[in-house]
Order: sequence, then structure tokens, then C-alpha cells
Amino acid sequence: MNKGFLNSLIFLLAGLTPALPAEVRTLPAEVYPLLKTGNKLAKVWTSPAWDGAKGFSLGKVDLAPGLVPEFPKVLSFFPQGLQRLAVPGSANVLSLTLVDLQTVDHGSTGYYSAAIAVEGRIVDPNGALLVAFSTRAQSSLRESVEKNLEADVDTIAWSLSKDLGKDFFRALEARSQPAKDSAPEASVELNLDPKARLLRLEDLRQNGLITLDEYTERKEAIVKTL
Amino acid sequence: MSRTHNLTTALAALLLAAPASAYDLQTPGNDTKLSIYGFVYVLGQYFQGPAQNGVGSLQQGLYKNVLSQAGSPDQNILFSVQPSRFGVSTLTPSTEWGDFTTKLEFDLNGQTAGTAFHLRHAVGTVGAWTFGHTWSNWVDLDAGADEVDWAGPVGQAGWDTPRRPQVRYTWSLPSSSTFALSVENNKGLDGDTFASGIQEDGKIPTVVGAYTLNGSWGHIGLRAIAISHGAYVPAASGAGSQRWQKESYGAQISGSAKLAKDTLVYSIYDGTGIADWGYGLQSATISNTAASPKAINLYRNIGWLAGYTHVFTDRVRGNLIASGVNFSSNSSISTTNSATGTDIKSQIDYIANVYYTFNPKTQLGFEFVHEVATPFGSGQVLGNDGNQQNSATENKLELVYQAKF
Repeated sequence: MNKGFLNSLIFLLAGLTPALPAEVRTLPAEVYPLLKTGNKLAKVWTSPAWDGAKGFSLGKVDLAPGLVPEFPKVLSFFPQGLQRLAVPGSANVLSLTLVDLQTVDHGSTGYYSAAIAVEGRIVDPNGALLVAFSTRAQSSLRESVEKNLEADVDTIAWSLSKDLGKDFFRALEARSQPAKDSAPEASVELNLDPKARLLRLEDLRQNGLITLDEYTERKEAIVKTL
Repeated sequence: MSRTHNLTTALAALLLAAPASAYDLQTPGNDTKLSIYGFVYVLGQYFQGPAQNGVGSLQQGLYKNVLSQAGSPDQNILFSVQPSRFGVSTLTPSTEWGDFTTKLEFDLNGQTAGTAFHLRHAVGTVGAWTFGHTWSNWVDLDAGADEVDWAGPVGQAGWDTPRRPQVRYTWSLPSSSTFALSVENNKGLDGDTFASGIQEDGKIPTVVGAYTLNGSWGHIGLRAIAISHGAYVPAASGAGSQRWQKESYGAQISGSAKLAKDTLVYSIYDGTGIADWGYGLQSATISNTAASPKAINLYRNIGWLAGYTHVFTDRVRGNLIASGVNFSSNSSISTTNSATGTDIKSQIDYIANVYYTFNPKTQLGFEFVHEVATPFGSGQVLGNDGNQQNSATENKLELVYQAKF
């Protein structure tokens, strides 16, 4: 290859670098120096006051100022992806801000990729910061941008579960165990009486664990079986 | 009876529990989601150029065989549905191990091209682990060009071709970066050409390392690859069996930059004997003669690509792409007066396209491709006018209709 061309290409790329936008920051400024590389999260800080055994309930998920995602539906994936970590009714509240979303949709190769970056915090009832973190997830093996976004949220949930301490993880395992025991086969929920399934669905909605659209859709499916 | 009843009940149960998409099935009680997906891809292509020699035969993948047929006319119209595909995937979230996913996907590029299934992916992941047949770790498709032609631009490392059985682990590193290390099958896939009587001896898998730095600005990827080329001659009368091998290496820089709604992608690789992890032609020749015993000759090629995507409106986007590949001279290259797929020195593609999106699942694309190929030494190619010339050009117009389901 022509060396002149290579040099031109390198200078072009280097020239673009100063124009790159700065990373968005939504956590309190004083927290950033405290963030450390996590086990699975990119960066995390936990206060000594954080009690993993008490867990957290799900709060707000919003967009960083100025971020207009190509897939507005991405926000609805968070309650679904994070619900298995949450303790409904916990006084500690997790809130997340989506600070970046990148997608690739190439028809000719059938390649789809989605990356999201979030900043999150868990606060106690008085608003004191217990946990702060920032992380990024990217998936490209699934068959659409949306499916990859969904997988990204799962990855973030997994990373969070690995970085909130042993007490948190033990409590999480203990909470999920009864569900596993009561659902050895695929047909467990289907064996429930439709009315019981409706009650369970209502419970999920009231605890903010599913979106309204999801609630409506699943309710319609159950009602058809009545 | 019982089994039939159980199956019917299970199927009915799955359908009743179906969430948002009509093609997603969820199994209550264990969180596994199963998706059926795919798309219809209809590609129409009109090309004009020296079809029997030169440019066409360098085009990767599907069309190179068609274009390099001796005696074919120098203008053609082709239609194909070979890129169409069908797949099934599952996802099982887990807070302990990370997502469990599986994917089984086929296109229609089988041996009876256009009608026979051809495996693209058979892969499973557990958290940061990947097991199975899927894109090589060497391929940075996030830095790939948004092209209509399924064959892809020349010079982009591997396009989407090197899909390999592999085991990969991806580490998350500070500053939104990752490092992925893979060992990938290369037996029968490393592009080696063997002299008569010599067999491939591929005992050592290919190793690929990929570092990626991500940000809201885009990404930068650095990759390195090591390939082992092995040869084996069985025992014959008067001589025992013989084995020999040689390693080859390649490196790649790739990336993307976000410029408002637009995207710039780029890549450049340099590799010796890297087969279709690079370009796939003129990779290595292996021989064993008295004058040159246990010879493994590895050949170098360098590929590059730059592409710019401009988003005009929510429905319309367009791309300008330039790419090229250069082969180093080597002993396997003929410098006779006839360029073929194995003796072209360089090729450059210039591509412009525009896509119209009807809805998130359906799009129409139109593309113009201008290709220039130059043979080695005093070699010449046959032009449209029937005369020999120093380089060959080909122009293509392509139209694609893609509908996902």
C-alpha cells in the first residue's frame, strides 16, 4: 500500500479526535474520584453504610440530558432486566441514567450490535448515597438491535449482582431459590389458575416490575384462557 | 397419547405466554426466551466489465465464481436470494453466570447456491464465554461498511466470511474497554495450497486477540492473529512420515467515529499467510522437493477500508465507501499475460449507495460500485473492447430488497 495514503489516513483519524464529544456525567462530582474498577462493573463505589442484605427497590430510569436514543423502547427493558435483583418495598432505591447508546444495523451481513452505558446510584430513604457506579455493556451476537439492547441490560444486571457485595448476592440467591424450587418445569406458571396468574400479574405491575404495555399484553393473554 | 398430550399442552402453554413479539416464545418459570427470526434478501445486480478475467474474480464470496467463468458475457444481470436467512435463538438470564444464549442460523448459500441451507452460526454464550461457530474474533463488524452487496468491499478484513468454531473469553477492562482472546479452528480453513502428496496437518488452532476501546465517540479496535500452517506426508516405502509447520501473523487497526448522526468507519490490516481472515487468496503454498524440502511459503496482503454513513432523514441514509487490497509479489504468482483471481496485484473499490427504510423491518437499497484491478508485472487483463490493458475496471449497479421477520 502507498505509504502516503496510510499517513494521510492516520492524520485524518488523529484530526478527528479533538472533535469527539466529552463523556456525559450524571453522578455527583465528588463521587467520581472514589469510583474504583469493579469486579464486573466498569467502576463502582460502595458506602460503608451499604447493607447488601437489605437490597434495593427499583426507582427511575431516565436519559442523560441531550441523549435521544434511536430506540426509545430501551428504557422499558430496564425494569424487566433488573426486577430479579430488586426487593419490592426496600427503602433503598436504585435509579439509573442512560448516558450513551450506540447501535449498528447492517443488512447485508445480518450483523446487529448495541452498546449502552449507564450511571447508577442507590440511595437510602434520606437521600444519602450508598452505591454509585458507571458501566457499559455491548452485545452483537443476537439477531436485532433490540435483542442486543435487551441482552445489554441483562449484562448490566449481572454485573451489578457481582459488585454489590456478598451479603447482597446471598440474599439474592435466597430470594430466587423458592422460585426455582417451585418451578422445576416449564409448565409451573401455566398450571396456575388463570385468576391466580392475574393476581400475580397485578402484583408485578404494582411493584413496578413490568411496564404497562407488558401488563396489558400479558393480561389479555390470560383473559383469553378464562 | 400421553406424550402427544404433553407436547400439545406445552406448545399451547408457550404460545399463551408469548410476550410482545409474535415470534418470541417465553417459557414461564425459567425465564428462557426463544426467538425465531430471519429475513428475505433479494439482490439484483447489473455489471459491466471483463467478466471472464480480472476484476470479478477478486470479488469475495458469492459472485466471484459467477464472474470468473470463462467465456461469460461482459455484461450480466443477476438476481439472487442467497443472503436470505433463518435462525432460532434463546436467551436465559442468570444473575449467577450472566446470560446464557444460543443461536443457530442459516443462509441460502449452500452447495446448490440459492436453494440449500448453509450454516452461519451455531454458537452459545455463558456470560463472557463464547463457544461455537460464529464470527471470528478477528472481524470488527462494528467498523464494517454499510454495503448493499453481500460479497462485501475488498480490503475489509474478512468481511463477515471467517466464521469459525472457537472458544473465546472477553474481559471487561477499565475505561470502557475490552480484551477478547479466542482460539479458533483453522484446519482446512487457513488458505494453504498443498503440492501433490502433502496433506494438511492442522494441530494448532488460530489464536486471535482483540482489544477494543469504546466511548460515546465511537470505538477503536486493535487486533492480532497468529496462524499455524502445518503439513504432513505419510510414510512411504523407504521413508518415514514427515511433519513440518510454520507460523504466520497479522495485525489490524479498525474503528468508528460518531459525527452527529453520521458515522465514519475505517480499518486497515497487514498480514502474511492469514487466509480469509485477510483476503483469502494467495495465502500460502506448501511443497516438499529435493531442492526445497519442507517449504512453507507465506504471502502477504494489506487491506484497507474507509466508509462514511450520512443520515439524510429518519428514512433515508447513504454511504460513501472506498476500499482496497494489495498483494505482495510471491513465487506462486504468474506474470503471464492473463490475470486471474490468483495473480492480481491490487484492487480498489469505490462505492456509493442509498437506502430507503419503509419501516424498521423493511428497506430498499441502491448501490453503484466501480472497481479497478491491476495485475502483477507485465500481466495485462482483457478489456471490454477485447484488447489487453494494464488494469481492468468493472461497474456494477445493485438493488436490494430486505424484509425481516
